[in-house]
Amino acid sequence: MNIKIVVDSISDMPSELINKYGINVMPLIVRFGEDEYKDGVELKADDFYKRVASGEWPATSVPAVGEFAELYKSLSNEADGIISIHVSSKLSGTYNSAVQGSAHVESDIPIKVVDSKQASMGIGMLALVAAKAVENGDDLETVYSKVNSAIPKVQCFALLDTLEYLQRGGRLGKGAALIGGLLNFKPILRLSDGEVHPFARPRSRRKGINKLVETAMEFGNLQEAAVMYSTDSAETSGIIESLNTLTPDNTDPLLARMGPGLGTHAGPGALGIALLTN
Amino acid sequence: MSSLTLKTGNKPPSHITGAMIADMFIASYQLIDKHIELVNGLNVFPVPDGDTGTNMAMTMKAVSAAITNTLNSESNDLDDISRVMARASLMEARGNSGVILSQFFKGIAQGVGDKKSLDVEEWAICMEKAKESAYSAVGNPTEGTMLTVIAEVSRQADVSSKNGDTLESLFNQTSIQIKETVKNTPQLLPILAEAEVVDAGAYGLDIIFEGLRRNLNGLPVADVEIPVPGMKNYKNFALPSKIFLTQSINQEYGFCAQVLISDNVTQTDQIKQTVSQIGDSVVVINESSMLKIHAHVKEVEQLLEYAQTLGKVESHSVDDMDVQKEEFAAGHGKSNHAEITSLISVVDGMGIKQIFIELGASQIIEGGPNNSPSVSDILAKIESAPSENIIFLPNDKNIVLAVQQASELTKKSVEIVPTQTLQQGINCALEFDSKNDLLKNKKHMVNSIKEIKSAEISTAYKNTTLQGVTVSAGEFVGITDGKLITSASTIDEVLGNLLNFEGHNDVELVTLYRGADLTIEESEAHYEQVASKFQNIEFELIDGGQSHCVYMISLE
Repeated sequence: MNIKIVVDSISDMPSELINKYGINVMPLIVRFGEDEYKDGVELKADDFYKRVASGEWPATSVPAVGEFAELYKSLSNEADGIISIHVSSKLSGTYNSAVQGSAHVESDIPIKVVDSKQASMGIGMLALVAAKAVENGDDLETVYSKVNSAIPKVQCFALLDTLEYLQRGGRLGKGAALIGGLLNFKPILRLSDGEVHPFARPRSRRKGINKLVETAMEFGNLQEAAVMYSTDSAETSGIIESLNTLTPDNTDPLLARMGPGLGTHAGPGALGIALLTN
Repeated sequence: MSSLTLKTGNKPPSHITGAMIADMFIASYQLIDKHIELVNGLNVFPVPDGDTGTNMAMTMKAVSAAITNTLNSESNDLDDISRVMARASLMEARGNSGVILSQFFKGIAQGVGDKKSLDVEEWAICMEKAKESAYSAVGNPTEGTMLTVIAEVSRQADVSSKNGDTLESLFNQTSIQIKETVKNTPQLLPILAEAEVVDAGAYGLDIIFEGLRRNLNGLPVADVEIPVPGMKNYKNFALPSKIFLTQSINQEYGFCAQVLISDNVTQTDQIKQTVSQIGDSVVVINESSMLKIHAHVKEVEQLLEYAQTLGKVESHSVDDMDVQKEEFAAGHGKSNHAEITSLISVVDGMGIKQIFIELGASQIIEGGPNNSPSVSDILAKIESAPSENIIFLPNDKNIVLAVQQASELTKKSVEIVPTQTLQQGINCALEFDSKNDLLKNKKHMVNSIKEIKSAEISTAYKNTTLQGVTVSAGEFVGITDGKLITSASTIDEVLGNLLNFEGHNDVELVTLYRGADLTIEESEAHYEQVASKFQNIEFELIDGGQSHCVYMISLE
């Protein structure tokens, strides 16, 4: 069996993992006004956040159906099956585009498209489940069923510096209760049921970071964990030290940078954790 | 070949040729390209990401480029053109709207087969195919969208074919019918009605068919703006208001409330943000010193409570929207999560009241140290709260007993979170989540009572010695956790002493709530002073408006 794994760029997967497991990343389109870039390919995180800091407003578009069709077609030459895992269909049309793309591949190899109901390394957690199953020699059906049964075990939280980016992109959903009025606070959001929900309203960043750690602790031992940041990697160190008490063999959680696609909605100064619970 | 050829003869064309369809769709692209922002601005369904216009235009751009390529290099045969349109739109389809467009072109290509021209009857067959493939492409076909428009286009083509209409009449009639369909999309898709928009993709198709019609009739497309059907004010429809409207997805109707307020000084944006937490379809208008708030709310009281913090409520009207609510629920096929737990808080001061409402309190009781609410006041609020489960924040130890008595007189479940200060109450309210059950809320909230220290600065009214501190009348006293710590003749000094006493090394954030007796200028001077003295602490100054003390202070 040769099974290929596809994710989209909203997964924020670190390149070490991409290379290690030969994962294919479909970039979303990130736009600054008229200028379009392939997320992470033509526009890297550092440049992206620099432009955001200088006052430019980004937006994202889903990859074209044809892009998916072409990627699947090119993979089908060397693979017997494809599992393609994507950002929550309630947050982006990417999943739908992938499903449409897969329908247009004139080849016999089976393609399984998964709605992760997640974003960022929440998608990454599922890609790792897939990668390990593939490594284990599982067939496509087994890989697919392992990924599906892992979906409810993934937890993803983010501490944002501001809700402005999420609001602008229309992804706030039920997070409306987090919009500050007279009192300032730093919103913590949770991805559940594929949508962004308000989770906590810590009044300071330090409290917010503590809250992220406490929240992870409540899930007990973990199969896998990741810590994400958009602009300040230094802030992740405390979270990493606390989370490695929960991971198997106390290994450090994965560290991932929120790329331009996700950063369009999370903004600068965002921190997050993605957990694969038991 | 250009559209001018159509005008050279007196007789209008009876068949669509490859060259004609090429020109027609190029014109469509040129037209939609100019309408990207208008279409984006309407986009609330299926994902409110404001890119429907971009996606449709990008898809049409690919179609237009592929047509031009084909005309330049190979052929202007109808079958070739329709094949390249189908292929280009598929390969470059962006988003759901792009996918549906590509299915539309696929249908045309299927209907064309190897024909070199189409008459009205054959066009009707193409549209029937387009409808079939568009509906089959979407996992969960939803009416009130592009699909409905394509179905209408197909229906009209069929009618025109049976009537023996000319091509011109076919496309003119089609555009008329599309506009009606677009206008009706909010009736078919409740999210649109709630956001007060028509469907973005449906309007996009209107533009595309306008392009076809105009080219066929020899009308220009440059500098033409196609109005949004059914939206007279479409030019003023700005994205920011859409943000508020999209927050209302999955929320419920209840009452349509309008409040008229005078003497308001709060900024419109801030009011919008707060009201959109209480309800949806929020419109806030500030005109010649009168403020008008329109919102759809589940409970009217909360909106009125908030309105009273903003100024003088001149009038209000409330309409029951139960009928729409039922239609909404039926259309959505799912009910919405009601509030499981309600929050009631005792407050002192306009600003404090506003904070509790912003944090989700549905009922507010005016009270405080020298103004305890009665058991019957408390009971009335408990009974009028929107849910059966109540979290009660007394924010004063002298009120707890009255709340306990009231809670014994009601069938509702009341849990008291024993907050002794408003500062503690605010810190607890930050943890409140109406979707959590009573005990989970209580657990989270009780834990956060001790997370902050409460202090206050008051004025002494007589000479006295209290807890070892000598105080003269007119002096300011500093109190933490109920203990008198310091007294001095200026607020600056008391504030400094309090912070020094508290061992400010552990303190990260100090929130100062300005009392009703201080002016903004006075409190800003205190704020500047203390912030420059304690530079490792973050200070926040909030307009509390409480009457019981000069400053309420929370340290955390």
